[in-house]
Amino acid sequence: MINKIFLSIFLVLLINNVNAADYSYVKNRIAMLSEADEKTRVTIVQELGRLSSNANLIIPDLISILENEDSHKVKMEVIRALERIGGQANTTVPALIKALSDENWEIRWSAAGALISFGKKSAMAVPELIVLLRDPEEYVQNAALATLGKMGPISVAAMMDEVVKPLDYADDQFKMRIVCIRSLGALGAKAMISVPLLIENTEHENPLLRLEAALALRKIGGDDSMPGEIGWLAEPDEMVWPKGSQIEGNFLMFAEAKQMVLITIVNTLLKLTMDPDLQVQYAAVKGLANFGNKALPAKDKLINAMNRGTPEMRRVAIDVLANLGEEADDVIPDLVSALADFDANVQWAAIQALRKKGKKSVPELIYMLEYDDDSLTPNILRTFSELGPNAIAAVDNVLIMLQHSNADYRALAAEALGEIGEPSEIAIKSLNILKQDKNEYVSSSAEWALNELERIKDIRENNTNEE
Amino acid sequence: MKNKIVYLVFLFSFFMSNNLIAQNIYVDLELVLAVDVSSSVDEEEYQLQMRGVAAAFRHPDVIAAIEATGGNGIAVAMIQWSDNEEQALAGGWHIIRNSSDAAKYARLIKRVPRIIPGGQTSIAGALSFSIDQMNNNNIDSTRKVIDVSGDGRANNGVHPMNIRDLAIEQGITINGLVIINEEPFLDGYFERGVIGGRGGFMMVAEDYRDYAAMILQKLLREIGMPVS
Repeated sequence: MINKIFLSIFLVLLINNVNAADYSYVKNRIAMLSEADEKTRVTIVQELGRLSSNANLIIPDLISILENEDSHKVKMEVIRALERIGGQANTTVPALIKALSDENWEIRWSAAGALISFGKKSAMAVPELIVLLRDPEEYVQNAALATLGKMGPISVAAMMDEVVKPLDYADDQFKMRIVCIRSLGALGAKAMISVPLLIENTEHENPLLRLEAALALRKIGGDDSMPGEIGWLAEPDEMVWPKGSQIEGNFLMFAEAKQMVLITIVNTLLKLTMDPDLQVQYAAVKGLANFGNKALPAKDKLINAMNRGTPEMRRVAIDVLANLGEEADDVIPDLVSALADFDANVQWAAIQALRKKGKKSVPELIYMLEYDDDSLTPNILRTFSELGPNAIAAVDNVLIMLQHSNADYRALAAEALGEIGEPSEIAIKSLNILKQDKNEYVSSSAEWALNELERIKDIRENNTNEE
Repeated sequence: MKNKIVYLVFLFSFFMSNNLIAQNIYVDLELVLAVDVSSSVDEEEYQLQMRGVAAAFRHPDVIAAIEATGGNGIAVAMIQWSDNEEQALAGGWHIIRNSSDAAKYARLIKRVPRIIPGGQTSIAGALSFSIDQMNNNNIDSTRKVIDVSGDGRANNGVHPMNIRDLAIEQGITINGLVIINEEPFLDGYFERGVIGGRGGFMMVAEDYRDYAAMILQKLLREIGMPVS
C-alpha cells in the first residue's frame, strides 16, 4: 500500500516535470514496467504518453513493449502513447500496421485510430486499412475509415478501386461499395476525382446505390474549400490537378475547373429529383441547398415539392428555395403560406426562409396578418421576431396585436416588438399597459420586451449625447 | 437549566433554518443539453443549434410535455464543450414549468454567446462536466438526462465509454444527437460508446440544417417518459 502511495506521488511529480524529462529518468520508468502489476503498467504508460514529443527517445522501448506485452490493456495504452508522442513515423507506423492484424479487436481499433496522427506518413498502411473495412467489428471499420479519410488521394484511389469492383467480386462487395461511396463523400473536395464514378453509380438499378452516390456527390459539391486550399492538389506527384496553386493564373484555372465539376453535380442532382425512389428524390432536393442559385432551374419543381411532398420533402424544399437568392424572391407568398403547414418543422423552415429573405418578406407578412387566420398569425408574429430590426415596417401592425383576445398572440406580439427593437413612445406605452395583463406569459413577455426597448433607447440617447 | 433549553432551541432552529436553506428544489426531470462547439462547428452551425433549441422551447407540444411531467416541471441547463479542458455552463440552470418559463429560456438561448471558440473533441470531458453540474445544482429529480450532440468522434481525453458507464451507475441517461455531415459513420460510434442508461436513445441529423427538426423531436421524447 505504502509503495503504491509512493508510486502515485512519484507519478504526480513526473507529470509536473514533463519538460525536465531526460533519458535516464524516462528509462527508469520503462524499467519499472517489467516489475509492476497490470494496473501500474497501464498508469506508467499513460504518464509516458503525456510526455508527448518529449518522449521521442523512448519510442523504440514502447514498440518493444507493444510487441512483447501480454496484457491488451497495456498494449492499448502503448498505442495511445505512440499516438500522442507522434514521432519517428518510419519506426512507429510499421509497428502500428502490425497491430492492425492483432486478434483483439480493441488493439486493431486503437492502432487504426492512432495512425490518424501520422497523416500521409501512414500511407503505407492503406492496404491493411482497406482490409479492415471488412473487419467483423464495426468500431474497427469506422476507425479505419476515419484514418483513410485523413490520407488524401492515396486512400481516395483505394476507395475508388473498391467502388469499381463488380458487385459479385466478393460476398460483401455491395456493403463495401456503399461504405466506400459514403467515405468518398465524407472526404469532400479531396475526393473530387471520384465525381464521374459517383455519377455512374447514380444511374445504377439499385436505389440504395443511387441514394449513397447522391449523398456523396452533394457532400463533395458542398465542400467550399477552394482548390488552392487543398494541400494535395498542389503537389506535383499527385493526381488530377497541375502544380502551383499559389500562382494567380493557376488558381483561377482551378476555380474554373471546380465550377465545371459543381455544375455537373448540380445537373446530376436535378436529374435525381425525378428519381422513382422517394429517398433518392429527397437526397437530391436536400443536396441542392448547398448550391445557391445554381439550383434555380429546379424552382418550379421545388415549389411543387413544398406544396405536395412529404413533410420532410416540404421542409428541405423550403430550405433550398430560401437559398436560391434574389431571382427566387417571387416565392415569398408561397413561403408565407407554408407558415400554416400542419407540420411544425415545415413551419420552422418557412420562418427561417423568410428570415433569410429579410425586409422583402415583410409586406406579404403584414398583408396576411390582417386576415387574423389562426393557422398563420402566431407564425407570422414569430417570423417578425426572427426578422428583428428587419421587420420595423410591421411595428404598427404588431402593436394592434397587443390587444388581441388570444393571450398567446399578445405575448408573441410583445416579444416581436422586443426583437424588432424600435423604442417608440407608443410601443413603450403599450407594453407598460400589457405588463399588467393577468396572463403570466403575456405580462412576462411584455416586461422583457419593455426592458429591451428601454435598453436600446438608453444606448441611442448615450450615443446622441456623445455626439 | 433555562439557559440550556434556550441553547437547545437555538441549536434546533439553527439546524432547521440551515436545512431549509440547503433544501434542494425538486423537479420531474433534470436535463443537460451538451452542445458541441469544437472547431468543426462554424458560426452559422452554432447559430443553427441555438435557434433550433430556442424554437423547440417555444413549441406548444414541448410546453405541453413539460406541463404533463408531474407538476414539478423540468430543470434545464446548456453546456458548451470542445476539448478535455473546455466546457462551460451557458446561462445556468433554469426551472421550466409553463409557457412563460419556456419563453424566458428560449430568449436566453437565442442570445447565448459562443463561450468556447473551438478546440478538439472530448465527449468524455463533456459528459464528466455534465455529471458534475447535475451533482452540484441543488436540484433533485427522479430522472436525469444528458443530451449530448456532436459532429465528430472524440480525439481528445479518455474514451467516452468510461464516463458513460459512470453516468449510468449514477442513474443518468445519456441520449445522443449525431450530426453526420463530417463523419458518415458517427452514429455507430455514439451508439456503442456514448449513449446509454434507462431509455437511452440517439437521433441522427444529416447536417446542421436538420438540427432544429431533430432537437424538437428529441426534446419531446426526452421530456416524455422513457420507453424502456
